[in-house]
Amino acid sequence: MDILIIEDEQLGAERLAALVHEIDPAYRVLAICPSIRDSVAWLGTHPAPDLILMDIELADGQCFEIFTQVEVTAPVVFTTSYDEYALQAFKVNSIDYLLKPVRKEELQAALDKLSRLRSQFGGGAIDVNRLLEQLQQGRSAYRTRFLAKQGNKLIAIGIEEIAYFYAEDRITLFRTWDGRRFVAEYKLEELETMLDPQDFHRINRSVIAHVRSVQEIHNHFNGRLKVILKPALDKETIVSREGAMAFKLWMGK
Amino acid sequence: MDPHFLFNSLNSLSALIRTDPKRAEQFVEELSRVYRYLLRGREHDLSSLEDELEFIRSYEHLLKTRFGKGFVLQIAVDEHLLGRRLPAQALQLLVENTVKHNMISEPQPLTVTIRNAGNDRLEVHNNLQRRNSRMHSNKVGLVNITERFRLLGAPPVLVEETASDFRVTLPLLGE
Repeated sequence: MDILIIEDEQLGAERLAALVHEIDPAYRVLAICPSIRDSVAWLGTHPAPDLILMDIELADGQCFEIFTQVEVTAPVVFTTSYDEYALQAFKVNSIDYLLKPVRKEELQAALDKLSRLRSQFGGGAIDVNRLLEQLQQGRSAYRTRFLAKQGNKLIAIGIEEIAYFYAEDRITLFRTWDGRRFVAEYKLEELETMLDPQDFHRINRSVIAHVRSVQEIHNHFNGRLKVILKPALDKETIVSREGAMAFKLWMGK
Repeated sequence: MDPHFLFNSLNSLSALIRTDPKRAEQFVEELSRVYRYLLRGREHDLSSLEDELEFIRSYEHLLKTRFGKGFVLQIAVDEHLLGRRLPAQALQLLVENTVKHNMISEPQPLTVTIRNAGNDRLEVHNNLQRRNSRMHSNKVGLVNITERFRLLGAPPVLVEETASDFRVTLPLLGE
């Protein structure tokens, strides 16, 4: 695998290169570009690498500028030390990123994932325009669709069709208003960041519900609440005493 | 202090540990000095120029480790002024701003100069080479400094900007 490192701090870049080499001596670091200018020049004159590890804050600005100046066809894994604002956008778009200082295991997981994806689809370029648009808006948009398996085919389910997400036996499922069930490819923790908190709320450890799926709320003992969802969920849905206040606030928004 | 700074420092440190353990050790010492100073100094306290400059030198060490020759700090302050005072961490905030808002690279280094202008003022100057960023502007930090001097009844803080230079002039307070 041929890798381009875009990173303005030399020490950080060297460490990243050393980690890549440790993970697999066959991986090659083609170049280290410290700036937008160098990166654009390099990408414009070389065949696309198999992967770009890209720092967000570069010497002459933010890396997103690169995409507006040159076509980037290689898959990108962003690296950042601290940028909550971009992280949210990455999570929503399922874009890979690594937090600096980069941990070897995480880098390895990212490289492994890429090798896997490459053998399946032969590429994994990201929708940078969408990402840029969201970053420029100053907020990140939430997920509007989820891909779900139906028999042998994949179908897209719009977020407006979904009543709630729930975890069952370590699998995350979601349920549409008309009662269909699908497997979601994300954990509830991940979904929490992808969904608009205005509509969806984590009501307990195993359920994230749309506000309109909450049919009835009953006082339960010990300050807890019992929630009846529609379409009905076959197990009791209890909101803890600690979570009750946040739940009520959300319901009353 | 910007939270970026801690993580960027840790990033430099994790690189140094494997390549240059001796420098890593020194880096840890300077980093702990910087943080000790930051935690001790309350926003409304005054510090002597001597203490502030010593702290700035530790801070400089961290920045030079990260940016190499891309970051240059020059200090030219007359010795008899070292007892004069200014709001704690004001200098650090100004230096941090220069790093945040300017391009830093070896071919085009960022040079920050701290020097006294006469006996009652201190200048923090840098060559202006703004980088594009959606990071919040330095206005909050500057406004904060200006306000702190104003509350102390000091002469106004001057901010001058041309196409190629950026300069903030702070009044030096009595000993």
